[in-house]
Amino acid sequence: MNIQPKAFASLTLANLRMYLRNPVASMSLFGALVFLLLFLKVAEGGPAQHTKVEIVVLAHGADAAALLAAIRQVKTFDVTETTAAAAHQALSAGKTDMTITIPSTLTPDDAGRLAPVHLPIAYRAGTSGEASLPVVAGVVDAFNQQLLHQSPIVTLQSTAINARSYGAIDFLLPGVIAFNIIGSGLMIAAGTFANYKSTGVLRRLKATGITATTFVLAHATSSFVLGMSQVAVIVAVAILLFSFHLDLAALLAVTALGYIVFLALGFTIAGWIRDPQRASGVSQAVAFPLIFIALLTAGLPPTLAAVTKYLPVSYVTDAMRQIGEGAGLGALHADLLWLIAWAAILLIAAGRAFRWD
Amino acid sequence: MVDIEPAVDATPAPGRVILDVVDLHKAYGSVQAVRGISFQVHSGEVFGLLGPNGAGKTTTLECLEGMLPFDRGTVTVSGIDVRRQPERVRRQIGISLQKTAFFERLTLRELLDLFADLYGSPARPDELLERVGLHDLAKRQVKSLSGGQQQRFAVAVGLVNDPRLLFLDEPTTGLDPQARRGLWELVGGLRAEGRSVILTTHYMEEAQTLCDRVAILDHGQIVSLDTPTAMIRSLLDSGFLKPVVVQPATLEDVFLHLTGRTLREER
Repeated sequence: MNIQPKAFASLTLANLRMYLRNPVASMSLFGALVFLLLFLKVAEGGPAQHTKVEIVVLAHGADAAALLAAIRQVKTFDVTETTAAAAHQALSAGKTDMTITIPSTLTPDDAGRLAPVHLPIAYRAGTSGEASLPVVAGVVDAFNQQLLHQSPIVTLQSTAINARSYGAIDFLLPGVIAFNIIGSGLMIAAGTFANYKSTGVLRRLKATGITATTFVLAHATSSFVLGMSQVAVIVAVAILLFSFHLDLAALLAVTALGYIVFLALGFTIAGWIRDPQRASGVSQAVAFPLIFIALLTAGLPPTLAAVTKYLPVSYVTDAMRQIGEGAGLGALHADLLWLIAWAAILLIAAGRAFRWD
Repeated sequence: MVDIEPAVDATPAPGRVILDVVDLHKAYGSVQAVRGISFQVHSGEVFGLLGPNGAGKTTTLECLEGMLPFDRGTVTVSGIDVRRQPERVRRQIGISLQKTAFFERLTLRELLDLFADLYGSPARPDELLERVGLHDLAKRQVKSLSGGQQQRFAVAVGLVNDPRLLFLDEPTTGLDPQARRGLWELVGGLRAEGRSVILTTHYMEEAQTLCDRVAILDHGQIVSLDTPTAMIRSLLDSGFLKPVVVQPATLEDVFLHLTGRTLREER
């Protein structure tokens, strides 16, 4: 290993400076991924979570008003009052999820007494309207107890704990990070390298007498720094938007190893295939199926998954998924060992494949 | 702008041998690109490699520069064996490649600083830019330079490590007459400092003006090696006759008379 420290440092900084001055090439993928996270947040936070409930009030008096008020208090309900015909039409058209009719028989008689009544509820099957039936049942129970002036024997005492419910982000974040690792590790590294080769920059660098190790290491280091800072931003955005709690040491280890693996793969391709245009094409042809695998880990057919699970991308996504579920470094040793093995193989291959021209 | 002094006639420039080439051979597969070339270049000498396309000029240069491994023969630069220590040779010499390319998105000054670090030499970007007449363009990027400016910048980068021997591969190809003369002046200045320059060119009047000695290559071999004047004399002595038209000026003289000798910058 013959490294010239001054040349290495200067070349690394020059590379980073060039990346920053060419944001379209080096940042567009990263920007798209951050945008994807924002989009996910917007989609998740929209009104879709709420159940649209329309209430048709046919009764008069304080009891009907109290029941209406109790239903309105359910946080996940968007309640509007309407007529029976309008409610039926809206529900049939799929504009609402549930219609509750407070029947006229809930009106007390002259003596102020109530007769037992049925509360007709119509809902759309398979929607949050159906899922909300137990909520309405709970409201009705509480209402009955109030009418009978009974104190309930058993009440729920619920405490929200800080466990997340699993959402799209849990499946997407590992894929998004793997996507960025492959994108900037493989495609940007191989693409820039191929570009240096085709324009003759690489030959001019060779003419300075710097060692191949110095050049490759500087190029890899700058791509690594670029990629790691992009992942740091992606994770920071995910934590801000989706309140994650991640083991940062584990995340750092997996990301770093992942970058080394895909940088080495990029260098191997760029070195092996001497025609720069073809090298860019091949690196993309390799990257896209890998990205596909990264994003669809869970959905791959078993026969395909049996093969792809040995690819480095699968160890990256698997480790990322585990980290997302709260795993620390200790739980990831299998993935990490596989990644180290891949890194070793590909680094040797990259070293062998390297050609100045 | 100063006119270039024609190369001194007769004897090779005095000085020690800085480049020694003995029986250089290089083949690409079954094609013999260079077939037994030998010559020496002395310090303070401008040496021209001439020849038609495919004669082996660039291949020869690249072998001498330590950029291309060769099959047979010995090349020593300042006593260093190119075959044994190509990287050490590359650090000693200055190179301007035929296809000049530098990093995009770095300024001229940043590039000179970078190359100083790559060569492990002290950075002196302003001095070098001044030297090649690009001091006003320190903050520009290479792609925004004209062809002549790019070539002069390539020479500036070639001077970063303060080499005693420079290789310029077709430094004036594609340049307008003013830019070409600007480069000639630059090469003249390098010789005046005692540096040696090896250049390739397709322009015979350029070789005649700039070079102390020239080697004419054809089919990978040197077919003639001498001073331009001696070559012309020898041709005439052999009985060569050309219908002589007394023409005290050339079209280039007309061109330069009309457009001036001042360097033009495209942008």
